[in-house]
Amino acid sequence: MSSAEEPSKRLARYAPESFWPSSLTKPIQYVREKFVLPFRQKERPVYYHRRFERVPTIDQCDIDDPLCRYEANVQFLRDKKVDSAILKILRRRLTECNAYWGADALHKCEKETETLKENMQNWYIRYGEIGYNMDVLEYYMKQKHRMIWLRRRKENGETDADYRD
Amino acid sequence: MPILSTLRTTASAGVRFAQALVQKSQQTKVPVRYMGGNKMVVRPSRFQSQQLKDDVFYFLSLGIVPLGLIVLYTNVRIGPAELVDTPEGYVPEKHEYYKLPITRYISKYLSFNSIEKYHERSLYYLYKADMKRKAKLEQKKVRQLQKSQVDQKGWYYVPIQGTLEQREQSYESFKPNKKV
Repeated sequence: MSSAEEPSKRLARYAPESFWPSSLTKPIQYVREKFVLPFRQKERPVYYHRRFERVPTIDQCDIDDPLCRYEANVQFLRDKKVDSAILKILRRRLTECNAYWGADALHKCEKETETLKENMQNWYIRYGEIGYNMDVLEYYMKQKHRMIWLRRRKENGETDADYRD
Repeated sequence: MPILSTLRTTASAGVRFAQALVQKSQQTKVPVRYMGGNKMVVRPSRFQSQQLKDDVFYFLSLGIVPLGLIVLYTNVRIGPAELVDTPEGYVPEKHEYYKLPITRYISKYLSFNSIEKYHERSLYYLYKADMKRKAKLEQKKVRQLQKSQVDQKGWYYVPIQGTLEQREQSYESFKPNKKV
C-alpha cells in the first residue's frame, strides 16, 4: 500500500470532500443552495483583522512603570497565542503529509518533521514550563536563568553553550 | 396454581383468568362488570407529568421561537461577513471587526465602549494606584527623614499666631456654657 499506489488513488484516499460523511453534508448543502443563498443580500458585509501596535517589551520598561509593564504583558501573551497557532499549522501540515503518503511518510515527510521539531523546541525554550496564567516577568526571568546557565557551562569548558536568540 | 383454582369455575373467576392471560398494562386486577359501552379505566393520574411537559415546552418555546426566527432571518438574508485586508490608511470602525451580523449590530448601536476603551480604563486604574503608592512612599520617606535629622519644623507644624489676649478670646467659644 505504499509506493505502488497511484497518485489519483492516493489523493482520493487522503483528500475527501469534507470531514463529515456525504450523507450528512449533501442535504445540508442542498438546503443552503436552494433556500439560503438565493435570498442573500448582494452587498456582503465585510470585516477586518484587528491590528495591534508594537509597544515596548518588558526589558525596555522602567521598574516603577506599571503601565509599560501591563502593555508588555498583554503583548507577550498575544505573541504566545500567535506562536501556538503557528505550531498548530505546522502540525496540521505534518499530519496531512503523513495521511497522504501513508507508509512512505517516514522518508517523504522529513522536511515537515524537522521544521515542527525545531519550532516546538524553540516554543518550549521560550514559553514552556512556566505555569498557567503567569506574568511576563516569569518568562523574562526564565530567559535570564537560561543565559546564566549557558554562561556557567561555557566557563566550565563546554564551548558550544552559546546563547541564541 | 391458577390451573387448580379454575377447577372451581364460576363466571367471574373465568373472567379474571381471561384478564390475567391478556395482561393489559393499564388495567388493574379488579372485577369488572361488562355493563354497556365505554368504561372508566382506573389508573394512577398522569396529569402532573403531562402538565409539566406542557409548561416546560411552552416556556422554552416562548424564548426559542422568536429568537430563532430573528437569527434565521439574519443568517438567511444578511449572513456572516467576509474577511478582507484593511485598505491603506483606513481605520475600521469598531463594529467592522466582527463577523456575525447580530454581533455587529450590537457593537454598532447598543454598546458604547470598545476594546480600546476597556484597555485605557485598565491603564487608568493602574495609573491611579501607582500615583497613590508613590505619594505614600514619599510621605513615609519625609517622616523618616524628619525623625532622623531633627533640623527643621515638621510639615504639619502650625505656628502660634497673635497675642495671648487674642487667643484667650477665641478659647471662650470652646468652654462649656456657664449657668448663671
